[in-house]
Amino acid sequence: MQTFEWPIEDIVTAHPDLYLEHCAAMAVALMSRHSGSPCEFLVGCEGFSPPDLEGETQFQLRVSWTEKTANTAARVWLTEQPKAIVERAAIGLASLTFAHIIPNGQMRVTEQGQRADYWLPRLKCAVEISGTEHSREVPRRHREKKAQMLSNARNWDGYVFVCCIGATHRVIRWSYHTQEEQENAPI
Amino acid sequence: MPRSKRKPSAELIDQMLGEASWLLSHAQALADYGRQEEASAEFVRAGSCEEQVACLLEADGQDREAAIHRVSAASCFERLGLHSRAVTFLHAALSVPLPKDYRARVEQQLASDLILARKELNRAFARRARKQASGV
Repeated sequence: MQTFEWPIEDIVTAHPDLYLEHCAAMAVALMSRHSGSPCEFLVGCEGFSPPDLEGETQFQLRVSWTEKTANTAARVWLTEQPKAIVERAAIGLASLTFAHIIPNGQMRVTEQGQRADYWLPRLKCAVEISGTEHSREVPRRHREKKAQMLSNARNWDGYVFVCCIGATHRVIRWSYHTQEEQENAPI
Repeated sequence: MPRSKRKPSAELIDQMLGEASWLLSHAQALADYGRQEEASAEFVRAGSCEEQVACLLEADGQDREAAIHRVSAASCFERLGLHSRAVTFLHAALSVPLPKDYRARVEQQLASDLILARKELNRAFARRARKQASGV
């Protein structure tokens, strides 16, 4: 299995159309509760295999951070709600992974009602992202996010990225789905 | 240096889409940090940028994309409590064909904004009436 190690700070320049500094800080706020730098995740890909994996569908992701980000992150818990931290941390990890492993994976966002809607303009893909601290929640979150992603405004195919940043389980379930898949799903 | 083969309008649209996205994510970050005044100012800028990019997309014949960005503009103004303005954008968004699920969500958003817009306008009217009465 391949291992990739990237600094979370990469997301700030990797997505020029998004402001992500706070997501980097929140990701570190959460990861540093359970691990030093780098923090390890087991990433499982479903329905696609990124080019760098050469056909494999799993890899180890090691996310590192600088002392400066750690200092910012230390203040996050004083001002933020835990739920918001987990969700923003997930956006941080997703943007890091897309930037490094999906060619042309730069993201953009629109507001759609109460939700932020992420998309990959160059690939014409929708993206749904979710985070949790409890591994047992991953399957349900994944189902919900898959349904949300497939009902996207553009009718595009796309990715679902659900990460668990827990004390003992740190896994990412990353899948690709097509509109055809939804049409052919049993009722 | 070779000149770009893309149409100038496509470049302008792409640039503005990027700008709208950045402003939105920045506004969301400011809101996350509880910096409400700065977040509100940034949501105004993001909403205006989404409004402008929607016009460019419509002029370019991209009606569905224009609608998506009008919904985004509406959502920015909702955050500022400007529901009557959001209603206008949502009506414009619903005037073009949209995927069924998405249309249903936008219609729901419109229904909720109409209720809130009425409250918003009732409050504004009551304030004005009180001001006039105290001025007499």
